[in-house]
Amino acid sequence: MVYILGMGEAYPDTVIDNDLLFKLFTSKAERDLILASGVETRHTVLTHDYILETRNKDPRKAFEISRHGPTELALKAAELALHEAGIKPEELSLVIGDGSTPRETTPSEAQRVAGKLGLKIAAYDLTAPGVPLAAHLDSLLSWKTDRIPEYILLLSTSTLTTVTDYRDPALATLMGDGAYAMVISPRRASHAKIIHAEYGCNLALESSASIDIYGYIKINLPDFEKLTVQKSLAMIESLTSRYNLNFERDRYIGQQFSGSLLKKISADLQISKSSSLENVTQRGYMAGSSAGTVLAENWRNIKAGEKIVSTMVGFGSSWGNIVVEGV
Amino acid sequence: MSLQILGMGYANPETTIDNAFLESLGTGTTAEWIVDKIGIEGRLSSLPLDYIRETRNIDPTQAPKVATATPTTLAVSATQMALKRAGLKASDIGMVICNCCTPVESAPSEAARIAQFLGLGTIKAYDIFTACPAFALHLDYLANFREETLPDYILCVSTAVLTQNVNYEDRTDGAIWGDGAAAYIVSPRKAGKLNVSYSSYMADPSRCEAVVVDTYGHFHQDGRAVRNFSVLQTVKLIRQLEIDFGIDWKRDIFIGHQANYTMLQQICDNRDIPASSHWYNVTHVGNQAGAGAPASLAQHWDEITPGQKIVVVVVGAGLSWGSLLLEGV
Repeated sequence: MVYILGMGEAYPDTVIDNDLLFKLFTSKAERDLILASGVETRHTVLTHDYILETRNKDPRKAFEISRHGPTELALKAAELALHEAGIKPEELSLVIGDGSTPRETTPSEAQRVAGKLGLKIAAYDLTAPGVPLAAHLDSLLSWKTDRIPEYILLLSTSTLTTVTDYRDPALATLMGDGAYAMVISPRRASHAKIIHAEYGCNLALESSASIDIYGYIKINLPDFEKLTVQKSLAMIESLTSRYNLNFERDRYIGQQFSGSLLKKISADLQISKSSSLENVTQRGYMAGSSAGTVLAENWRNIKAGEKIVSTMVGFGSSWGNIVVEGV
Repeated sequence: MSLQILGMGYANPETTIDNAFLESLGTGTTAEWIVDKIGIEGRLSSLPLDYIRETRNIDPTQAPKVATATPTTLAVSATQMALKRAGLKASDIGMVICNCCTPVESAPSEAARIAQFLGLGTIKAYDIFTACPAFALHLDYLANFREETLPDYILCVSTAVLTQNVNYEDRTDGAIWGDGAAAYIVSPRKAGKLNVSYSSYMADPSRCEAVVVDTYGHFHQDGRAVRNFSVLQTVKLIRQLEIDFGIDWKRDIFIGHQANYTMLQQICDNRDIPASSHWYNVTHVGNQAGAGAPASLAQHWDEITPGQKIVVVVVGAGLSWGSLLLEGV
């Protein structure tokens, strides 16, 4: 068990609304597809002019013109998390990072953020694209107590709009940019504790999502959505019996891939809108940052005895979940 | 029980970039200069020599299109050797962690791609990444876990094809890098050939801009600063292990980060490590980033004797560093 001491989230200022996408995609079929996704706005490090003029046909250019990179977003989120935790950066002993759209493949995202914080501490990436919140915490909850430092910074950041092909309306409507950071401690108590985390992959399944290092994000939408529904239902069934979940009291952060998919999963699980926490309708899909940003936006209000459960499905046919309990 | 290493393997592509070839590129370097400055005579590359000669790899996005190997294929080859030495099948693996600074895809993780190549089913697979000191990081990371939370057999891999990110117009960078992978099978409870008696990992991220691989560009580093850091840090870590574990250089072995041979020689001179106790591969493979040190150990796998202590010190991007004390069982 570890406590959450502080969380932060960051998004670039520029917003892509559906009216902007309608300038790119003018046919009725394309517009219907965009509306059906249930995503209304997303944040981007790109400019409107760049998207409209180039449709990001050369993603290398996206890196060159974007106003911020993933590291800057993660740094902003980290500063907010540290402020909320009430600790100075130099009190951290470990930074674990994750990112799916690095500007540099070396050093690690964790080292870049720790470097900008001026730190001299252990820092490395534990990269589990799409599910870092679960993978990071699954790992830490398995450690010997005396090997977990007093203060740890976890983060994930991605700028998926830089690897989006804006000639494809199905993906253009989904992708957004953002980062979260979380300060945790095994010993210093707070009003929210993480009591469970689980991470796994089924590599017998063909991976339905990938990001080329020199190219675009590619997702086989029917396969990815099918896996997401199956795994989400199975995870909630398992967690409900293990932790006596009751969604009249507890709250659920489902897969933040699209508004329509989230709606379907919540309906299948009979979780009401008031018990479902989300930001995908306003921020789009942010890969590993999605679940963490929703938690960052909501964890402060957790009540004693209440649980927030998050399930996520990621790249490489991976999945994970966490359970946070109010103290 | 301490972590055990049950088997190790390594793999490299077949094409050799020798110093005569680099001299023929006309970038101002000579074979004599390379040997004198960094002591590397050849490096193994996934790139065809004609491609390097004609393009100098000015646009690294073209490199994967002509490459004969990927980080994943090298990793799988190294894993097969490690599994054979450990007497295991791929299906015995319960967890995969990987370090890769030249991925073909930024998602899924390199560990997941390797696991899929190996035909593994439901397991944990993710990347634990710090570039060059990955051998120490992986073992130190696994040492954090309560024994019951780990599976019997864990596959750790470090793989990179850095020649695909080298600007061959640069006379120094072209001489340094090689491609390769190393794999090591680790267990928290099954007896192995090497006992992991000590591990450490640390970083100074405030200096992380000293070594960079741009996603759409080339490797670049502050060579002088990195070399000074590497020598000083390695000597410091060796000295600590000598004090803590009573190292006897007549029997025990040193393996350093395989950055370049003159640096390694400088370190050996400082610590009075005889040539017979120094295992390295950088002279004929080049700097393989995180794969270099474990690949060097894997190449000497059959020479390890019971009671022998192996001192591993690895440094690099991050800037980060780590050390291991391994003991033959």
